[in-house]
Amino acid sequence: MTTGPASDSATRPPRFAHSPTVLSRTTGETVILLTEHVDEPFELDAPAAAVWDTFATPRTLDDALGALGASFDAEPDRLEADVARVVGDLCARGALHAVG
Amino acid sequence: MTALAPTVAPTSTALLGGSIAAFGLPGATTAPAPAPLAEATFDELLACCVSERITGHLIAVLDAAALPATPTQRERAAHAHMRALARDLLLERLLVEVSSAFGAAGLEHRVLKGPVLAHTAYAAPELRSFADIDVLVRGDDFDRAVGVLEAAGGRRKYAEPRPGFTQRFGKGVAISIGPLDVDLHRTLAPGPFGLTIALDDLFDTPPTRCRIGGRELHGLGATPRFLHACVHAVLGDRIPRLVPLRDVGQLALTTPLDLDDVLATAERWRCRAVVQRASRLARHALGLTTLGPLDEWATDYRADRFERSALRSYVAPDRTYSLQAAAGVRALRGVGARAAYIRAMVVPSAQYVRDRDGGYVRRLGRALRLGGRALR
Repeated sequence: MTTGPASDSATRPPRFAHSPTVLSRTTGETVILLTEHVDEPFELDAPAAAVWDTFATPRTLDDALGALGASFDAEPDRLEADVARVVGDLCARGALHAVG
Repeated sequence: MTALAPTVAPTSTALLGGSIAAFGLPGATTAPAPAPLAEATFDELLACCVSERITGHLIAVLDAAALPATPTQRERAAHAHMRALARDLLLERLLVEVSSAFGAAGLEHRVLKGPVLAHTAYAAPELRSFADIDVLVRGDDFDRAVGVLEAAGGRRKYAEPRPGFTQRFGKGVAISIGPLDVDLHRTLAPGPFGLTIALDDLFDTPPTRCRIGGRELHGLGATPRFLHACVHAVLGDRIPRLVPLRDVGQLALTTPLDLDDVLATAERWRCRAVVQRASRLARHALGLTTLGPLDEWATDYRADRFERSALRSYVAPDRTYSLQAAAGVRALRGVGARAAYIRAMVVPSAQYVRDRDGGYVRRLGRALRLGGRALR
């Protein structure tokens, strides 16, 4: 039987955080991001910006949903799907990354 | 309307621009604005804010309802600000790349002005936009630093008067990398005041630190960065720009500043007249009631002959690069240094003459006109 950190990390859900190399500015409810190896900054609208802000400190998707639930008037399943999509997109762009 | 909710008086676009640039500073004088500006006036104001790079302060003013605005005006201001912020991010990334390249080459450097001020002296980086990035290296490293930037695809915008001139006497060089510019500095100003700055002070004081894009960057220490803000505000453009004046106010009023050290350093750099003028300009242009303890000193200080003459070469209505170059001779110590400087000014390289004057014949004509004016 395997015990210790290796098995913990295998079962623990991943936590996400802002990539250390991403550059950002905020104006109103909009966030502008510039990630590595991309020529143009891109904008996050208010809901996506709220998701982005949630990951200022490392969190799991479930933690983020808990924090965002109070801010959005949406069905839990719909909220989970939307947040997962935004997180996936931000990870693909290199703005968020999984931390240990 | 209460005294705790300052607003801006729309008396004229220039005054309004100053009020917007001053927004949020202690001692900023403001007055009620009764209604949104007429569209033409707002257009003028927005153009001023874009050109002065103070859209961040404009948004802060609008968010605080200190200047009433129509929904369309707000939307246009927000759009202009987004464009400024997007450019700031591109410049910050270039800065991280330049700093990394210099670090890899073992080049000690300091980041000047915009990005480090935005992240360390202002309440939020969105309040301080910039047009390019400015990086200072030691004079002995200057040519090597240019080589690093050229190897990264950079292109010098102007030739130097003679090979090695900038490394010894010049302010620095502008280098284009794609559509963006890096101002690589050896010192903080062209002309005489650039030559009297004790360059070791810029590296020997503990730096201001900030982290951008995962990299720790070093800016100037508190005293040199305030003096640089004054230098930039007074000597940078013939008509002083609002951003460096706001930097002077921001650093004087909202950051810890050791006035005795500032004045002692300014005396050593022979630029107390620059600090005096910067404090007066900042107060006037931003409509500030005070710049704190600096006021009393600035009222009483009497500049010496060198400072008065040097300052004139930057702020006179007919200021020219040649006038500053000539004034630079008086700032140099030693016959050898003066001879090398004069030689580079009088007989510059052909490329330099093409860049600056279009050719030797035109340069000679201009020199004769300048000489004639000096004799009259």
